[in-house]
Amino acid sequence: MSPAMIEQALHGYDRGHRLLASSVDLTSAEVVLTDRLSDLSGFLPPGTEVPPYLTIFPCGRFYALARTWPDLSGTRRGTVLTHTLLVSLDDVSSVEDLEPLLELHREPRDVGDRASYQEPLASPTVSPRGWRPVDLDDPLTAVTSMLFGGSRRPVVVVADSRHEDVVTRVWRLLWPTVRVRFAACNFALGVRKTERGPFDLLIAPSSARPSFVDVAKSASLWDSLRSAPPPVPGVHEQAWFEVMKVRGPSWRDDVVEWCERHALSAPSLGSIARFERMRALDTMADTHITAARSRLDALVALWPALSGNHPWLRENVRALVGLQEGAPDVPSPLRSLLDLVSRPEVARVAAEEPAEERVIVQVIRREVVRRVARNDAALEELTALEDAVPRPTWQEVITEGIVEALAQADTSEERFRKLTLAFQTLRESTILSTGVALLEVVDHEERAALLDMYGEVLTVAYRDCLFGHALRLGVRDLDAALIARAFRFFGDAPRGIRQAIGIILGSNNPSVHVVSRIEALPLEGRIDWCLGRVCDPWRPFAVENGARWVRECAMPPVEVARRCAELEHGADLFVQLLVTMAPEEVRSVLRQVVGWAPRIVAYVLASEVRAQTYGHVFDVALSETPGEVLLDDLLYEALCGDNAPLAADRVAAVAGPILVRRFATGQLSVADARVSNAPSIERWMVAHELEGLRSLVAREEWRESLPQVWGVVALLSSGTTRQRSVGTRLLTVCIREADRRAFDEAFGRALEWFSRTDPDTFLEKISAEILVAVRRTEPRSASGWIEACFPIVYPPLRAGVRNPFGGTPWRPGFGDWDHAGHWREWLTRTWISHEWSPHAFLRIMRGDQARLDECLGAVRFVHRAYEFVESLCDAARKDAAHAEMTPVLLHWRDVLMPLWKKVWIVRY
Amino acid sequence: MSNRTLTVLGVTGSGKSTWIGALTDGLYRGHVSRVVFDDARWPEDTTGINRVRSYVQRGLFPGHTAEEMRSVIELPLLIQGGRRSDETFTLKLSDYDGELIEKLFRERTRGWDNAWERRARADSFLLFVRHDFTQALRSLARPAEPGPPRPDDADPMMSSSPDEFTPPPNVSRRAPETERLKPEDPRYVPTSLALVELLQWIRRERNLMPIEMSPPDRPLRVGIVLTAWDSIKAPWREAPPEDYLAQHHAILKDFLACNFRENEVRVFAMSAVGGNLEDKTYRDRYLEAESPMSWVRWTGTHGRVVQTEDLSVPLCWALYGDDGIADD
Repeated sequence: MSPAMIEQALHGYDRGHRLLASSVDLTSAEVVLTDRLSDLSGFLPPGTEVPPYLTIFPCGRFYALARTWPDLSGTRRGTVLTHTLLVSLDDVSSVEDLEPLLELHREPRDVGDRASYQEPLASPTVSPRGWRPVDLDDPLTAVTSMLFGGSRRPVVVVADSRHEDVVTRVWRLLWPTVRVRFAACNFALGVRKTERGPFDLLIAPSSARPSFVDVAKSASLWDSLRSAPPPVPGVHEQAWFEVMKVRGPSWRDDVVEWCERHALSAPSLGSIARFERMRALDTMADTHITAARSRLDALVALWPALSGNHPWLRENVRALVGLQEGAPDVPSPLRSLLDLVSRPEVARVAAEEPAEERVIVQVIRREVVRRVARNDAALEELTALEDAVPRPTWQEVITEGIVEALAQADTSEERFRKLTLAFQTLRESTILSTGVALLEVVDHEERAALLDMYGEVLTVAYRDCLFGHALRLGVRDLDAALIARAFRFFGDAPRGIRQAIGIILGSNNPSVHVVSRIEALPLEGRIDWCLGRVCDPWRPFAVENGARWVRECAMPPVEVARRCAELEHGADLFVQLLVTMAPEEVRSVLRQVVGWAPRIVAYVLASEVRAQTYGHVFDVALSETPGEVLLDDLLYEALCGDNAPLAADRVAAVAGPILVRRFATGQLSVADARVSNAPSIERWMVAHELEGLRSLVAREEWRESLPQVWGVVALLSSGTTRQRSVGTRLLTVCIREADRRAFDEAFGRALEWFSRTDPDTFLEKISAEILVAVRRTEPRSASGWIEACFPIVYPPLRAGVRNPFGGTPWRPGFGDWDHAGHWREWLTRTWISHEWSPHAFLRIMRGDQARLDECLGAVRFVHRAYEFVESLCDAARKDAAHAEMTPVLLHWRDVLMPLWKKVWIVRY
Repeated sequence: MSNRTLTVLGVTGSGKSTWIGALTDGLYRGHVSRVVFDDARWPEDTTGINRVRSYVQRGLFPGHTAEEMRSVIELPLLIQGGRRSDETFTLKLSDYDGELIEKLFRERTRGWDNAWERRARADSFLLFVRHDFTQALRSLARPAEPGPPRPDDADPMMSSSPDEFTPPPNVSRRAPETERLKPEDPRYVPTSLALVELLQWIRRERNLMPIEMSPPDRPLRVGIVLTAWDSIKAPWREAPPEDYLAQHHAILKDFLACNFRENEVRVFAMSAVGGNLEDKTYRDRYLEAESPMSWVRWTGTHGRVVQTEDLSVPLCWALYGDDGIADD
């Protein structure tokens, strides 16, 4: 078949390469494309002659068949004339043979020969030609194998011949949909492109090799002058390729006919190898799952947009689904199922064909049950499987399958093992659909264990859902542990449980529900239940109701005390029993139990709230408890136990002096104090105005322990603002009361001790706070302290080891304490501003001239620096111990005197 | 070391490829003195460099640059002598088909593509104009009018060859009827208009409003290179190149005067190969020459015309201003 009318155009060089004449008005896009592709095809190496050559390409509404000649009459080198035949795209798809059309090309004489190119041409007469089978060494073999075997473009053949016959014979093998996209040039000096992409076929002269360096790295270039044709996988020595070479257009018609029969469009040019591979799999795809899978892969790769109700796609999917039962367990049991459900084409078929979806769902469930029950390795793929399924209903089917598989386990251990494995593999996103359902299969202990194991790693939303389910199960079984884990309350567990039960039951009084459940038990069983629960979050219920039930069953209080004493928090229940008794009865019971149940007494004493409420019990307990109990268990309970904050004020009256003594004697470490005792000590000190410590300082036998006492003070000073104020007051008292000399000595030792024990804390926090305390309360006395402190603080500062005052905002105006210079400046400034003793200043210099020099240098511009140096000179003159500092002092006096004079003159 | 980008502007046939080829060949042959190849940074792939010099190296004019032959060449260069001696830089030059400029004129919105945006951001520009390859601004033939010619017939916009905006006094303001453009004649874009249009686009791309000057610290230098100067007839050959530009491309000259500082524009007259390589005798002389055959003329700071054999003078001036050619 040939087109009715053929348009034409002429391009050449006339003050630039341009369209010279045409028989049709071209659009601007068509002009741009033809302008470019009708010009020389790339860089022409010197000495290379330009032969007439052919360029064919789709161009807008037309298919262009362009023949280019060198413009020998041109004014410039490298100019060409190109005659382009423009065949409409509709017509060209039916052109089976290009050669009759190419005979219409006519070389213009020069650029002025334009007239004959302004009218359309009549279509030539076409007579069918036979196909000559392709020989092995025919270049067409290599060209077609590269064109049909892959989608890399362009396919480049380097040859000295133009091989125009190769182009026209390739054309005869193309089917209509491919023809209208095909682009080729048989004298390409570089990679040529249309707006759709690179040309399909380029035949290049050997001199243009450098232009194809990038293409040469791929397999789509064949240098026919240097090597044999490259073997193309999927094409080379394949049966279909041999058929193609022999039958030519007949083979092409067969491809088109097969596609029409299966309601498919013809494949693209580079995918014909895959197409033939798919056709070859037809015979095995109904019996072998791998063949069915490969055939479906090829089908969707060739026609990715097929709808779900396409008959050939449906048939392929049905074959794959039907072969799932025989899929092997290797490399993993659910591999084949995973592959099936993750295929978009399977989802498409299921979405559009309900009957097919029913079959697919049945197969998924059957395979999940069978493979999970049979092989633990299947559990590891559950998350991937649930992720892969495209439809929510399929996820439910998978969950049902897993549950059914677990239910089929022979033993509880086996079931829990599988369940644990399943949880390990499930991701949070799948917990909702699978994990909650799995909880129904196991008992409450297993549920709690699972929540402990995996609950915290889940995100909030999924965790809430899972835990909500667990919470319902916990309330149903009165399983406090499960409720606690599921409701995730901290601290006040009873309140949390009440809230949880209230939420689940929708009741404002959840206790009624709990009590009614417990009261369903016999009386003895209730007491046992209560005693068994005093350690867990049911304690409020157990304590409150347990005491009542004890009285109801008339159990002796001593027996109750014995049973309670064995429990960690049994004292609570016992106290509840005590508070219902008269004082005399309480006294009697306590006398019986106090010797061997001191914790009960300690609890009573430590429980401030209850002591206030039930004061008579507290008073009795206090009076009846032996001193040793108070000093040991009571103290421990009061200061280190959970109730320490509650008991502090009341117990501190007794414990305070004991505590200090224990610090002093090393029985209580700083670390212990830091953990929980500091609040108690603080309260005690505030309440008692340090009476104990004041007397302690005055007592000779404690003198050796003073450093540790000061350590405690320092520790307090490092805490909160309130604690600092306590520490400050403590220091104030001590400084006032203590003998000055003894104080200095003790304080210095305390600092030494502390810097040795906890140097980081000391340097970074404590020393600064103490300095503030001293400076604010008693500047004069502080000079003594600084004198003691300086030798300890100064060396690390001088070495620049760390910044002890980093960022501390306690001294606005002095900036950041970022190096030793600040320390020296601050020290000396402070000394000057407070007019502290120059003798003391010289003492803390300890004969170190360099240190003195640095300190005075740091304040040389400070007001009254000169007067300060003068006072130091006086002190040095009076005290022979400081005589060695005199040269430094005289030096700084000489330096500062002119400055001082200048200031004096200006002022006065 | 820095990257310097130079955009070479010029319509088809203006001699862009010939200058690039001759400059590259001159660098190879040591005929260029102001800049030399920086051997320490010699590129691994020299295909582009070899291509641009291949024709001149063989004593041939480069052919017409087809659209599919567009290329960007990177030359590692080192300045030799002068105030910037030993400074190294990489020169990026693009060679393209001059029809692009005409297409830009015709397809203003579609023609201005990313490549032009890159070119517009160059450090400097060289604008090539070949005296025998320009399209003059021509007038349409007017319908015959009754009565004597009116004084406004001397409308400068309607004047004939050359394409001046303000014609010199000694040129007739009415072109002969034979030179006038008939309606059926093919229409070509006048070279001056295309170049002015292009410079306007470039200025706009660089955010410069009409008549707005570029910042003094970032001058926008445009070197006008009048090519094939060996073939121009007297008296222009010895005249200052600025005079030729004013006489033959008045619109361009006026545009440059209005929109650029005086020190941002300089006119060079150049013969990249010194003669006609189509002439076999000259071609043989050219290939056997020990010293450069090319030359460049321009008006020096003292007002006299200066001539040198160094083809890199326009390049050095465009990149560094008067500093680049200070020793001359």
